[in-house]
Amino acid sequence: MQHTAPLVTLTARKRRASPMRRQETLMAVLLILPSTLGILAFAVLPIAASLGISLTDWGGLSKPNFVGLQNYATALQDPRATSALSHTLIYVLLAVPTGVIIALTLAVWINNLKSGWLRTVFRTVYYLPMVTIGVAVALLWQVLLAPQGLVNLILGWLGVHGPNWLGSPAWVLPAVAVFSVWQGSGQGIILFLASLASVPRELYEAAQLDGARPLDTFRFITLPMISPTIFLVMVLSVIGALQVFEAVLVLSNGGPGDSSTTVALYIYKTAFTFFKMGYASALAWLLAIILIGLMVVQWRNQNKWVNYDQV
Amino acid sequence: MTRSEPAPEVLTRRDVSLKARSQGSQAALLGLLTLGAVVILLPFAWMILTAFKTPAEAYTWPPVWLPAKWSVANFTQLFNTIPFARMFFNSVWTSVLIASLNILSAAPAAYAFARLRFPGQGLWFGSHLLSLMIPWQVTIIPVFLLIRYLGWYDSFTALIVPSIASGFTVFLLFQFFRSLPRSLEESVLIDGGSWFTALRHVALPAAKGAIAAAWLFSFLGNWQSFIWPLIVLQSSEKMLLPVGLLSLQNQYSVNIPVLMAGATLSTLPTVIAYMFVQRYLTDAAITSGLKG
Repeated sequence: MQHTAPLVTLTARKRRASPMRRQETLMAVLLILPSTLGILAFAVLPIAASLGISLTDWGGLSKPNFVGLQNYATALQDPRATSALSHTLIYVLLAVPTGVIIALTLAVWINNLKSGWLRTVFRTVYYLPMVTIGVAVALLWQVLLAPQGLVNLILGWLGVHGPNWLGSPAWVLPAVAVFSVWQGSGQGIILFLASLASVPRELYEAAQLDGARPLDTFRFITLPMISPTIFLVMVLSVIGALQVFEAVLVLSNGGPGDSSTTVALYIYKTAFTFFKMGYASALAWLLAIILIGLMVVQWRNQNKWVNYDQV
Repeated sequence: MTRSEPAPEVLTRRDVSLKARSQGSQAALLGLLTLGAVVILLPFAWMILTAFKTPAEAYTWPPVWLPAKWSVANFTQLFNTIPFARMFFNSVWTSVLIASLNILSAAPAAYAFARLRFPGQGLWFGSHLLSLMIPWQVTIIPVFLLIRYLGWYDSFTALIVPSIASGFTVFLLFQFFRSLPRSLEESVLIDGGSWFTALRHVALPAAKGAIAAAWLFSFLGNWQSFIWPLIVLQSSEKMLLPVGLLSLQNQYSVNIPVLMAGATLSTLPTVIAYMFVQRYLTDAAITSGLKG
């Protein structure tokens, strides 16, 4: 077992004389001032303002009227909002489990390579899409997913007649999920690799001496030891996927019809195409509540199955 | 040597078969991982090849792999359709500037949060964390309205000023400063030096690597940033690359090879640069995973 060293190994802080303490406070104020002003002006105050705006019918130009919780009530009955939510949830279910399983599998394979040089090569290659401009690779995938594109060519070799991915209401969300997994699995892979590298080698050696098969080793050693990271990657993926925006905007612009309009895209269009700032703010808060609620539920649930010895 | 190794020349039949099996499994792993790498790289290859094709070649079925003639006509048309060079330059200088401002504002703050004790510390640090956790959909509308109220719409000020403070960069550097051994700074303080001296001559030099990583990460984030520039910058000579590429897609005269020429030129620089700095970036990306 890895020993856990205390984070700070230093002499006990001595009580300082008060001039010293005043110097420390003054110093701290100067150091945090620029950053804190920025955070206050462009994050904290906007959060409060957004709550306020969500209680109005503000169109962005006219004078706002206070409408109480009207926007929230409207949202719950707005068929376009509920369909955007269901598209988003379908997308999450398609993209997150696939993405996490693929990232974990690839990371375990990379980790099992004996050559350190090859490990670096594969880690670098799999992370490549993460350093590109999202719009550029989305445009690329638009070409690949065209009815007569590379994806359908390869499916044809396998004897499958590929659909018109982005033009069909049934296939557009799976297509966006395929793109996102291609683009984003690198993030999961490097987190898994960092975690796998921290599993003590003696555990594997002991298992090998006991004649454990590779699958048993994975099931009874690797999986429990890296479960906090699996949990972390899952939470990050769900949070990211619930906010999917750029991919659907570029790949399908929410279409065909509304069939790939996700919550984030609907909020964006409500605010910046239709200028319903009040209503869009209420929608944004409903999304934020889902995100925060999810984080809380998952953080509580993790106690049941996450191994805390390794973080 | 803490334990004795078995003499290598005494190989039993079991050992030989184990070794063969392990070599076999290494080959199988290599094969599977190479297949995965092809899935990642083939789209990029297709993008580059398509950028050199004629429109006719790009639309034939079954698709042709190689252009009959390697022509740069698509790149010429790209530069004639949108101010691509201008957009590229805009992306470079704004990303460099914002990343540098991020570091300048974040490094001192991160140090103060990690090392000093002062009233309201938890509250101010908490605000930075809050800015990380709140989804962009919530803040983007009020910030947009504020920008419009200030008369900054369609100006680089609108792009840069709200991005100066970065909760993420503060968090990244906070993690680093907290892990730094305290003894060196303590010795500066005991010798009568100020916190400023400790920061400037001890902590900052020690943080060079972490600062480089945070800068790279911030640069990349701004280079990829899409929605905020989409909302606040409108005129094409002020556009950044991601929005510029989207506007290219909306030009009716533009065909697939021209789009791929644009995608190629905007993808390759960071991909190539990444090969050289991947170690730094990966470290920052691992820490970034911990932010959620």
